[in-house]
Amino acid sequence: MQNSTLTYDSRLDSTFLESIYENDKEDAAFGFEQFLNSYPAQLNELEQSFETGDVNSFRQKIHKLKPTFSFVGLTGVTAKAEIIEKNCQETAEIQVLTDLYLDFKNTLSELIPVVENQFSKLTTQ
Amino acid sequence: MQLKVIIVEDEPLSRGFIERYCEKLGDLEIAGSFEDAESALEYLHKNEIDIIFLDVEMPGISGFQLLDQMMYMPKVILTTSKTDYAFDAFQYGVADYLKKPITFNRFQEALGKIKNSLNKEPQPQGNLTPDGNLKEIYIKSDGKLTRLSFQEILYIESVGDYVKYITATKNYMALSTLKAVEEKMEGNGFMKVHRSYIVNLHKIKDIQDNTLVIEGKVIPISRSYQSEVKSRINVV
Repeated sequence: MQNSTLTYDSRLDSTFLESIYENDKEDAAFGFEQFLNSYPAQLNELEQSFETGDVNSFRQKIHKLKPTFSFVGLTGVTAKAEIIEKNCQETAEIQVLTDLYLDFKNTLSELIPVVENQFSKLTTQ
Repeated sequence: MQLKVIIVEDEPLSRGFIERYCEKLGDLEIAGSFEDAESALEYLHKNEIDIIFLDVEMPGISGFQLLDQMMYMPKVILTTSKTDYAFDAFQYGVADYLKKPITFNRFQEALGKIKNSLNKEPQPQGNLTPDGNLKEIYIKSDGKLTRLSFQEILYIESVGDYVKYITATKNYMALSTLKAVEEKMEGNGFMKVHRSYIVNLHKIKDIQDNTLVIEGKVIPISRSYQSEVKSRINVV
């Protein structure tokens, strides 16, 4: 469905969101809903991999998660995930990644409420 | 024309979007949606499809490894969050390469290319014979996938870690085992006659007790296969 105006929170990458949803509110709501439904389990799996210290498993999980953030305009989080993934290829010690991982998690937890709020607007606008 | 597609994608959001886009286009039938390559392969060994949306990097078997194990080649659209696989994609002759997240416009463009190419190609006979048997196989040889129809294969010989496909015009070496080839070609007019040979039964010229001849090549028949060979050919 084409809509006259779709506006996004300024903390989300609206240029990117416009490029993937092309002003289709239903597609955008679908993307946000799918993300909100799927990310907690995936994040949990990522955390488990980090705790067990398995760098390869951690890399695979962050690789899988990476594109999903962009679907909700968190392209900055996708970029952080990409940096972690690249660093995984250069180390066998998960501790080396701690600072990057903490930064990734903190950024994400700050932005999740923005995503939830945007989803709410998309379904009520 | 309704095209039969499958989606192989471990990331649920991307999978959901591809399914949604397929439904939006209306002329695609989603025959299956798989989160791992193993399940997709199992399906593909029993079913024929037109298009596969295939993620490259998945746990277990990767997208390219799946292509290596396929017995026929539908149109392939790779979906990936990296652009590093472009060369491999070219080598495998994929129809298109979509970077995630995939936009509907880009998705439509990829499908448009495939529909155009299908319209230009002679109408396919399909990869199956009317009685449901495969009639061609793709082998990975010299870094590319080569299609061989069963009709042109004379015999297959085991050579160390490789198998050699012999046709009237050319031989092809592929990294595989005779056992794997036997499983794929079973029931398609091929038969293992010796630990090192699978032969196309339609190409045999002469048979003696423990040898057969195809295009001048004498191939041994193991004692354990001799009675089965005789039962598989029409002796009058």
